[in-house]
Amino acid sequence: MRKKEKKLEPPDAQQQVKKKITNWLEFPKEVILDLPVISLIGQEELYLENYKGMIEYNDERMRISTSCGILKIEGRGLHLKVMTTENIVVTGTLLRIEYII
Amino acid sequence: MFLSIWNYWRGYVIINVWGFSVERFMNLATHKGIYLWDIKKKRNVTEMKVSIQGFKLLKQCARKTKCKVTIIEKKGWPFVAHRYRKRRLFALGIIVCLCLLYLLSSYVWIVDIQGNDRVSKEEILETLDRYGVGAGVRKRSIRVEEFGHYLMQEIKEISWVAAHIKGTRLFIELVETVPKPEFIDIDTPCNIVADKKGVIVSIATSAGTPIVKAKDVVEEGDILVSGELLIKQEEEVKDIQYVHALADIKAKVWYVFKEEQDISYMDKQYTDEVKKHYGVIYFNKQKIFLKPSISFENYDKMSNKNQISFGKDFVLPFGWVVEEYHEYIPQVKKYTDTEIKQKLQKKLEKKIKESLHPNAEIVERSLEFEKDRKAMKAMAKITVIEPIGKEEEITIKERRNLLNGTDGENDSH
Repeated sequence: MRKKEKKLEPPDAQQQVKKKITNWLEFPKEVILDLPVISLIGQEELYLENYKGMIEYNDERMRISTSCGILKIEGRGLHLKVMTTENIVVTGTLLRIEYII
Repeated sequence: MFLSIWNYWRGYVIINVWGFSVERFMNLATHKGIYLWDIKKKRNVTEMKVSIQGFKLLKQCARKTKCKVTIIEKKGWPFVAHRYRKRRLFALGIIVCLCLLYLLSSYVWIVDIQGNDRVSKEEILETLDRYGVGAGVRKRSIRVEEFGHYLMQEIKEISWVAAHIKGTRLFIELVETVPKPEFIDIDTPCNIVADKKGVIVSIATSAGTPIVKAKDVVEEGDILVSGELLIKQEEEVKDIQYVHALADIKAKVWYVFKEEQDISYMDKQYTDEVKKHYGVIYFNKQKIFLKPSISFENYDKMSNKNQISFGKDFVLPFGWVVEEYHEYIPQVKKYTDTEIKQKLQKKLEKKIKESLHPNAEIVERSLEFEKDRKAMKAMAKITVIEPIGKEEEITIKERRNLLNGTDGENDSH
């Protein structure tokens, strides 16, 4: 745990600078800051780009770890339509999407 | 849809994964670059689809995460190919068949000619043959515009040709020339002479001097209207002018038409016996195969040809022919008198219609029958009122000069 804390500190300041520059120059944030992009189509499809790994996969609950925390998706009849190195497509009846840090 | 075609082409397997942490297994797989899709959770197993290449790498992942992987279904073209790997010639055969089909449809196999009345089909086909166009010629080597001109040049009776190729059929439409009626130029002086023997009924002259009047009997060759106009001044002929005579002359003409018909005829009484020969047609030749022997004494042969075609226009030069032989027993029968008379009447009517002038009016007709042992003869005499008169040019020799004096012929009228 300690090791991880030490590693987090210096990038944090860098992140702030990066954020400012990106905002000012209007660069696409997800590319520069390595953030996940979520596209939600209706209640049926969720398209997630740029994730780190999957933690839990259930018929009714899914937890995916991303660079800014854990994304929790709750719903019914969840299927993973596509799973590649960078994207995940989740289909089914989606009820709740939460960020858990 | 295209993705599923692509996946089918590459081949994929449907697998069941179960174990402690399926999620770690999936993470590991995706980090290796394996593409997973259609992931569903069913009770305690997870079902997903993997490409064949991916599956081979999956085994390692399963071992690491302590999951069990089983194949439920194998789908894809590679599996099919593997199943039929000993049937390679079959696949080759399909390809050869398709190639042949393409090749064969690049030739013209049937020539369709429309619009020919006076010119016979054989003549047209023969002329085309000399030019190098016909059944069995490559479609590309036919220049449709060019051979139209050639056809019009060679056969004078054709005035317009249009041709186009549809499928393996060559359609040729033509319009024939209208035969030019024989005219003598309106500026050339001419007489009107009788072309038939008859009695004049009416004469209406618009140019020229009329020589005959109603109720005159004329023979073939008599001058009816003369193209000579005599200009008289106080009973003296001053000048002769020559004009193109024009008149509307109607005369009564007599015609006799004869027809004959045999009393006895052969009737075919068909028995129910039919024998069939089967044969194959290829490239305008035919060969008969199944030939059961024909023991009939008298028979009618009916040939039924069929050609293989895709739709109406893609006809191939192959087909089959069925020849049917129907047996019949010939019976000699006789027509009754009324039947014969009816037949003869019909024949005569047809003949009369064909030979008469379209403007002719039938005034009187009589029909006589004569019967002897073998046949019956009919004779129709009809009296017709029809226009007569034919233009005949007055040659330079015939034109008389006032200086030379007049002929005795002139003074009678």
